Amino acid sequence: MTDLTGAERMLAPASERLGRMHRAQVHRDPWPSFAAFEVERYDAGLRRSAAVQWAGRARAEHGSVQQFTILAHTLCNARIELPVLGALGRLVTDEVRHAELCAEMALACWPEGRVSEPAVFRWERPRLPWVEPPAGEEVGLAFAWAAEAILVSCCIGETLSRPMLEAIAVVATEPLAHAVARQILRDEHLHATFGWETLGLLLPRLDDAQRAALEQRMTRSFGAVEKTTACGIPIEAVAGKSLEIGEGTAPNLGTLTDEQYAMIFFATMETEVLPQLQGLGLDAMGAWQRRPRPPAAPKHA
Amino acid sequence: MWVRDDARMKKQGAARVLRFAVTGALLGGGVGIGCAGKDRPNDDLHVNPGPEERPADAPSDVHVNTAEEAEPDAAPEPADNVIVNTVKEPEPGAEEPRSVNTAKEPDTGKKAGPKAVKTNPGPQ
Repeated sequence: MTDLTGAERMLAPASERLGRMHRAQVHRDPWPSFAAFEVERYDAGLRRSAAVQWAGRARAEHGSVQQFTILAHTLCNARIELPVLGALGRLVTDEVRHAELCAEMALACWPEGRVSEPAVFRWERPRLPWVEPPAGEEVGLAFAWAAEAILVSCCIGETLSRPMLEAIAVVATEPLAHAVARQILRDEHLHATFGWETLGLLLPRLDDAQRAALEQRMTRSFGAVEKTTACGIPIEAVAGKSLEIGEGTAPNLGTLTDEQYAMIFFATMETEVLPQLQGLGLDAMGAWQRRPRPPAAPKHA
Repeated sequence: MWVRDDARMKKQGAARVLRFAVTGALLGGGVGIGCAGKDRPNDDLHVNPGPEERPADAPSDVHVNTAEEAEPDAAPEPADNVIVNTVKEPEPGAEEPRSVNTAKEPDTGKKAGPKAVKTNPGPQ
């Protein structure tokens, strides 16, 4: 096992029976034929770049498994209504499925990288994007914690993932990359919907202080997600612009440019995330304006 | 805004085009606010402040699953921030007995036995 890369360890078999259970639960749609990927059709540099992105997506999807299972654990302890847990259970298996799809895609794109650059396929323990759930029996604290977790992971993260995957599916010239993106995309709308519905359910259960704390943390989360998603492009560089994303002439294995990421991020924040948060009665626009931003880069003469 | 451009899709046959537009509505904001000293958010993937510098409630990197992945040369940030489940392992003697889902539920009017265990379809 020690010679396997992280992505290979993700995909390693468990037992025959567990494999059957897993496939019945996770391989809901026809599974793409990763063995059919024609490596020789693409330049090695292009394949490596794609592998970097798909392997990173596999880690991020695995991180979502961590997030949603901890969320489920906390909400279970808080004895939230069962429909919430049932819906959340679907999200967990979806994320397992996405991690598997992305890891398979990464390895298919750049099989030689397993030996030449295994770090591309690394698999670290995920880090939560929020603090640990509160200990103790106080249900109100658990709901307040869950509201932040859902706001960050679903209302922001999953809402942004959807147009990004849509774009990846559009730009991908390779049918396998297109198929993988489409499979993941089919689930994403449910994840965002889960977030918006559950946040709406929890907010009335928060007291004023908890609500204020949520808005404060939302401010930080906006800055954090901008930093990881907008590729260093500030909103000032894209305001007033529009961008069309379609299939290009060059081969594409499911990757986006920095500009495409930034445009998708800011456009989706503007038209979906912030208005919906405002609609729930949160001061999302104020939080956005107060978000931490990196100091402006020095201008060259 | 982002839209599936159906009109353009028709013109181009099967080719799909997405259009994203950013107005000036989100312009502004506190450039550099909170980015210095102890108040800086610890969400920087490439800077690794020690745990002692991290506010207890600072979010780490909020990751969109399809966000761009850094090249592997960019050292992965250690899990310094927040969160992993660092719960303390209980002493063996302090551990609660595990419940069996199908164990008999005690009559709530009676004193429970040594440990109440339950089976989901069990007799009440």
